[in-house]
Amino acid sequence: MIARVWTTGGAGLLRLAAISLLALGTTAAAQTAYFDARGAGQVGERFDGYLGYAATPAATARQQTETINIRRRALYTDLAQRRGVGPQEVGIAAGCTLLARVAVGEAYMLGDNRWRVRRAGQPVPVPDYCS
Amino acid sequence: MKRSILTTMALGATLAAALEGCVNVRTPEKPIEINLNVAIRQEVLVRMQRDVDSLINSNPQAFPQRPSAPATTPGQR
Repeated sequence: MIARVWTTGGAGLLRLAAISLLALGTTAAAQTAYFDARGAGQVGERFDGYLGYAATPAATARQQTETINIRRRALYTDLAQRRGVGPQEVGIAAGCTLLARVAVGEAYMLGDNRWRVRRAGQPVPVPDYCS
Repeated sequence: MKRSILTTMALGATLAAALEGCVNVRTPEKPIEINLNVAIRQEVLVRMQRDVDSLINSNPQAFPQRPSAPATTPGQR
């Protein structure tokens, strides 16, 4: 892999720079399609600390959601290793905080694996087991 | 011949009853499992909450918040 970058020389470096720029671009725009899908109740927080699909979102939104979930998995796994607990437990603990952030009109999923939408006047959907 | 049909029917009924028995045993197990898991984790959840909150707040790329959305206050829960 390293050897290939060296042999292609400048072109390889340019390509690398282009890829980095592309990555930066998607990060900045990232959140728009995701936020739209979330606001539409298509993408929502799950009790396990990950995002899920209450309905099928646009392809871009799905892609961005997957990226967020990959980042979350890495963070949960890292924290779990440092604290000597399971990554699932970290995810569920994060789910407590993330469910508390669910806004009116957004979808969420609790331990019964059913999708619901937080309606106006309804309290935040935090499960009983959350401290 | 008659006897063999009867035997087959009896066998079928026994099989159906056995299968039904399996399903009946399985259904109540599921929710109990989930509740037990949550009960076991609660202790860990309490211990992890502060760590997890700082993880969420320091990684906006994994936990994006709309700029207009009001920040979650600790007292909300």
